[in-house]
Amino acid sequence: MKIKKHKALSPSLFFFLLLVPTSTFSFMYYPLTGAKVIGSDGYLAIPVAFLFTIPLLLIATYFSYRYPGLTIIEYTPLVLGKFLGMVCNLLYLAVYFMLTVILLRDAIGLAYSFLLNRTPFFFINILMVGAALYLSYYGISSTARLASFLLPAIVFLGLMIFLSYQNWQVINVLPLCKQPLYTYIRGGALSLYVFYPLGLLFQAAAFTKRRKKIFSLSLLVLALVSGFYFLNFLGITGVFTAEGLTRYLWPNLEFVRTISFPFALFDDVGLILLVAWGVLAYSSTTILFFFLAHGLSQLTLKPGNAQSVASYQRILVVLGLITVATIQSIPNLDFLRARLNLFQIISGLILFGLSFLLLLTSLTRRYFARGKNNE
Amino acid sequence: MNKGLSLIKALLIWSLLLPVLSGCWDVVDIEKRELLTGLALDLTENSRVLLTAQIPVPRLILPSSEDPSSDQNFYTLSVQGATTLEAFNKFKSKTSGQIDTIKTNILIIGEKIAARGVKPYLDTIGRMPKFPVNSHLLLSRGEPGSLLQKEVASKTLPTFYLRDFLNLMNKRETVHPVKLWNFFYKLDNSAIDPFLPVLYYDSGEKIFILAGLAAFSGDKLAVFLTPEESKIYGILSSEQAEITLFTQWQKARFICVRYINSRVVYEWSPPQTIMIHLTAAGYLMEETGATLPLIPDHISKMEKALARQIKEDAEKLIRRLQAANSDLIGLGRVVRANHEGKWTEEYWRKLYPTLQIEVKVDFNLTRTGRLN
Amino acid sequence: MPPHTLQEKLSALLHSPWDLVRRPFTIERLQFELIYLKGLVKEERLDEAIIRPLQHFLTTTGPDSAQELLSIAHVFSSAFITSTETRTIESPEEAANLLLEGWALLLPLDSQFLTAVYLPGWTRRKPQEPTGEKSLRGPREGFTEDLLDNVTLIRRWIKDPNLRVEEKTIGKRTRTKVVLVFLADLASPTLVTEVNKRLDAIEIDAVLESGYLEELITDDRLTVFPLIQATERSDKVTAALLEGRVAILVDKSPSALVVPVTINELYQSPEDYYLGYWLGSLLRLIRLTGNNLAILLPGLYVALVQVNPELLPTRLMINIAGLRANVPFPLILEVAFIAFALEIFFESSIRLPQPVASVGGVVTGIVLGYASLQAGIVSSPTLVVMIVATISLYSGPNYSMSIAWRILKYFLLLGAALFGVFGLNLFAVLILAHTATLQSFGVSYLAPWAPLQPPALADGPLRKPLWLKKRRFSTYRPLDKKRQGNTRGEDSPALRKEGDEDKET
Repeated sequence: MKIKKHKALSPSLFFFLLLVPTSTFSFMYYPLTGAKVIGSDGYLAIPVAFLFTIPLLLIATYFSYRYPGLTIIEYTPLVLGKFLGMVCNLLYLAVYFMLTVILLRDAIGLAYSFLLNRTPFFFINILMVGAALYLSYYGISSTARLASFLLPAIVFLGLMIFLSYQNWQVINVLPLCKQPLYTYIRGGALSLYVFYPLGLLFQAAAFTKRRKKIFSLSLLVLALVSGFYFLNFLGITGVFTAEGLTRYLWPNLEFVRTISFPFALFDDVGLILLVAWGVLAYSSTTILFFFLAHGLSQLTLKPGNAQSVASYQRILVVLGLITVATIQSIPNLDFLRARLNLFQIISGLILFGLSFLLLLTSLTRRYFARGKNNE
Repeated sequence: MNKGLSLIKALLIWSLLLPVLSGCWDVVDIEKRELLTGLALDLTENSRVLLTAQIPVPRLILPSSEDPSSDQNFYTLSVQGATTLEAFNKFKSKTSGQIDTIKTNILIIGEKIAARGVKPYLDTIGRMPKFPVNSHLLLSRGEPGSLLQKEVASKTLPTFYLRDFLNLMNKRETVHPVKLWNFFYKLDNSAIDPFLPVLYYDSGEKIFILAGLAAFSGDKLAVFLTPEESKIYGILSSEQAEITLFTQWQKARFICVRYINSRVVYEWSPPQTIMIHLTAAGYLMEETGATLPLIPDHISKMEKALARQIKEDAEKLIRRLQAANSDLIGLGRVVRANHEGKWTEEYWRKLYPTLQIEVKVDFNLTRTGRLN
Repeated sequence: MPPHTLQEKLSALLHSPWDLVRRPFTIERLQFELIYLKGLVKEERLDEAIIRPLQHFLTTTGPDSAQELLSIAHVFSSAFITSTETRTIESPEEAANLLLEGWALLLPLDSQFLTAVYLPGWTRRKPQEPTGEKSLRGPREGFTEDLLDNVTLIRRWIKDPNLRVEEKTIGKRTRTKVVLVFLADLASPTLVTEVNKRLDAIEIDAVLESGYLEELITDDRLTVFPLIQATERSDKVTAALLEGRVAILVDKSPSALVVPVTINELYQSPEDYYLGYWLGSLLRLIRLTGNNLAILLPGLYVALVQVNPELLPTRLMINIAGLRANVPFPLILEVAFIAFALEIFFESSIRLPQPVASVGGVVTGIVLGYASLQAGIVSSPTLVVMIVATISLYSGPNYSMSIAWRILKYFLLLGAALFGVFGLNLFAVLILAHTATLQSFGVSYLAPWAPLQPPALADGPLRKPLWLKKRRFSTYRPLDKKRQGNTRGEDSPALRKEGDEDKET
């Protein structure tokens, strides 16, 4: 059987492949962390998290040069050895599996609460997972094309945030920088999960031929999302205050629901935001599913087989079923939110720990290899 | 393997039929929905929650309604329960259609509930996902349920009448609209207290009147403000625009100033002094001694008189609010903005009544007409 | 006895059809036979193109020399027939094929070769404005059923020696002529090779219309979306060739096929470029809005009214509730009923005889609509929504695209009816996801939206001014990207000289 190869992504497709999941993943609830940990200037957690994420991008770019055309699943065993490499790969994939589950659970929870109260949860679950599987089946370029087409939805999100400043008061975002530095660092570190989808760069870098653009594009994504989230968080705090926003499960949705244009076409603009975000969530889930299935399929393949299409498609369906089952087993959102901190810490340790471990090991091996060559 | 994949593909495609074969759980025809456009919360004598809802009859509201004999284009329902949620669930058994709060524009709270503390009663409503966050809250000094049964002279649906009244910008002088999300924001915020506009009904002219404010301390009703005091509050908070004031500037001579807008700057001098710098501007509309020509010197006297009056009224209002421990203006936010360390509500509740608050007013008459 | 002369072999192949004409004649004691199919050949020209030149030739040459010349086949026809195309044929099968294509055959008696003379004389329709692709401004010349006329129409636009016209014959029984037209220095060689490859791979009995080829060479046979553009307008095809695309013209079909195509292309009309960019942009926006309205409105209406009315303004919600109070059917049935009724009416209106058409319009629109409202079968908001949606569907210039949306509209309606706005949203994204997987001859169907191509995107929903379109878009990967030089407009600052204002009076 002839193995079809994935098409290489153009820079614009690559950009959107990273932008959509990063801007969507925690959009609805991320201010809760900064508000609870820091307080009225909780929005400063975002610039701190931005700074903390840059090393991750640098490491991913380094490995894209070191092992061109290979994903993290392929080069981890080369760097760390077979057994440790397998363990690290499984942990890495587990992080993204949890990310997918959290994103889907939120999307389904939102649809269930606001739009479809009586439809059985199981149905909405199957619908969303099935729909995401459908597109990820067709490969990375179709997935990226869909993400690229959703630029208007992202612009719409930005517009809604801008309009929500209608009720903003500067006094609600004060005092500024009156807390000890440690609080801001802690808040930023705990808010890092906002940028976890950027960790897909470790896999996505193998699908683009323009290696020189990898770092600049991913940094642009990080900068855009950080800027957007910073303004967003500032807006929410200015309208609700930090104390006020902690009452909501989805503060961003409530923020947009405060928009009041009494004589406009739609009464509740916030629910339209929900629809726009839902579309982005669907696309993000598609991207996550693709990389998960692809990563799982590569666990047993030799390096260099990254481009095989058929292998990941078989895993996709099984992955979908496992995702549905996992989501069904989560009793309610409170269960997830209560464990969000734990997830953030463990995932952060895995992602950052793994990348630094890879970097150090790779550099050490190169140093010793050079030493041997010189001898 | 290929056959297996084809089988799975086929199963997936056939499974798409499932939604078609299943029921449409959320499908309810629009004419079968009973919209609660207005809701009133009150307490009965034995402290049970009394909910009253106003439900429009759509076919009687249509412009081409063929039933002119019917006077009322709405009806009301009342239910009781130990809690708000228990009472609310009883609506289902009283109507044939599906109860919907998706268009509840008006929520009236009774004085009894406000005096007890609104949080336990309002919390359920705040947690209903489909309850509109931009619905207007009002307070009634009598029985709020009875207000929902009143008709208006213009034959509009009463809740529509109130909603339009509250949404229109040019009503801002007399009306300080409070939306549900705004009320919760202040309830959750330890540095500012909420208020509610007070609703009355004039049975002679068959109209609703919004006059004065009910100031809260935390979630309990603290004090009622008169309409004049609520104007001063509007100037102090600089949230309201286009206020009209009437003041004496010379013996037996009065002026009327309209479209007063203000800007407020707070100056906090720890430990206990706040200086409120108020800069207001307005148009001179009327001068009772109009037979005498106005000169620039008169204008500065008028401005000083206005500044003096606003200062006196503002300080009087602030003292009244301090006595009731109701931080309507949100001075707590000013103190918190400059506060080092952990902010607690307890700390603020103790500090607020003891604050020295001074108001400095600068008034500018921007339109005076021709002067000599 | 098996036939052994060319004449006998030809007779055996043809089996004397009713329209076959066999005219034996003698000139200068030499016998000839003229064979042709009556309807295909222009009989008036036979005398002037064949008989008289032959007569003149034989008279001047003399029968003996002529007899010698008869043996030199390739000289014979070129010696006396100059006014039209000729071929010298020795094979009876080839002769029969040419006869069936409208050639007249001149057989010298007992010769082993014959001369085929091209004298087409079948009835040809004059180029007219295509009924399905009307425009406010621009040429009214649409393609006809004659392949030569169609190629000529394109040649009259493009007088570039790089214009290639390559012929193919497809269809075992119909032997339909198909030509590929492209500009050799613009169209990507990969594209041309791919088109040739797909056409050569076709094995079919008959090709009656270009639609047959369209179905056989398309990238995805199961999709409802047209992956090949079909058009009857010569200016559209010419514009496409100038973008580096390839056109396929089929004999007996007025629809030309153009490949590759993107979804953006299917919403563009040549008159956008004839009417100025403000008006052109407005028309494009109207088209896009109209199409979106047509696709989404029924589903949105059902979703908002039946499942998620919280999104509707309060008064509108109450009005709709009041108007639907007496309708006995659920909304989805009402919508389905009107949708199917409108589909039937539209289909019937194409085939209604002219005298009946106007009365039919009145009966359908006024009487039925009004009567069904009065009877309470349907409600007025539903009627308004469905009529607006159905009419808006035809705001796009491409009929195939309208058909695709006509089908998908029901898919969206299903999603909306089952799961409200969430379902409509999900099903719409599924359609979008499906289009994201489509390609047309190697070009992404969603280009220039995905992958994002900003220069081409500026010419998407709006029309880019001509003076800004200096380079060809990379969507179709043309070989020569340069379109125009620096033509400065009269309002260009560089052209204004100092002191010019002083000279104005």
